[in-house]
Amino acid sequence: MHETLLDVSATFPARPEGLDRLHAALERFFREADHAGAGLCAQDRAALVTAVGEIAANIIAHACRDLPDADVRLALARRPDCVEARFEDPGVPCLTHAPAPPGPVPHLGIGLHLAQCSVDALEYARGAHTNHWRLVRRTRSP
Amino acid sequence: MELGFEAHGDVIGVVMVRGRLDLMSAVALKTRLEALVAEGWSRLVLDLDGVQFIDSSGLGAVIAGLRATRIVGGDCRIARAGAQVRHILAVSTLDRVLTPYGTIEEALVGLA
Repeated sequence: MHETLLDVSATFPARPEGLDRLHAALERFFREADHAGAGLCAQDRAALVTAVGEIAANIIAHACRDLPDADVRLALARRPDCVEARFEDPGVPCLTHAPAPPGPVPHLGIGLHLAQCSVDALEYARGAHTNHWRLVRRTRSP
Repeated sequence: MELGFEAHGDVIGVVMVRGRLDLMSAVALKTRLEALVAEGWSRLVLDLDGVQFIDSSGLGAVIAGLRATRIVGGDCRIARAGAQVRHILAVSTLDRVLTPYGTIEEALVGLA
């Protein structure tokens, strides 16, 4: 089932300086998970931070390259058997061809490839004017 | 990101890196490493104990440093990498060319 043990949301500007806020949100998420007795092992933390960091960098460097004043939304959720991260940004589509349905992302650059190798599911979808990323990592610890 | 440097001989140096190695700081690291090599420091150890996060941009800077040292017949090694750094090295398979050493002393062995 999709019971959520805790969730953390944050918004950060779509420029390199925004990464400070992204990492602060991740640290808050880990602290709150520990406090709730749902902490992540070092391996899961490393993998999640890697994947989230690469998607964020991709959004800043590519999707929102010409939108430095845009905001990117991040939502982190801890569930009994996994962690989930969702991004929403108003940038250009990730893929240059027609929007793809939700699912695995083909033709990844190195950053997105590293993100995909770090999680169990990486999905991209294009809304009317927004990009949506969903990452899921099955936790190796309770 | 902050960088420090400590000489260990005439051509061997340890570069202490602190902070995040990402698209904000990767260029600065690459520039510094290439400058050190140009100054004659052909054998470098990157002390990554203070690096809490590295992404593909940061990896690219480290690889650029490795390439610069190799071009002049030297080498570049990394030491004291934390969990996230070791994770990204593993998933990128770069741990085959950048073996993370546990200590600086271990990384310095055989570097001369």
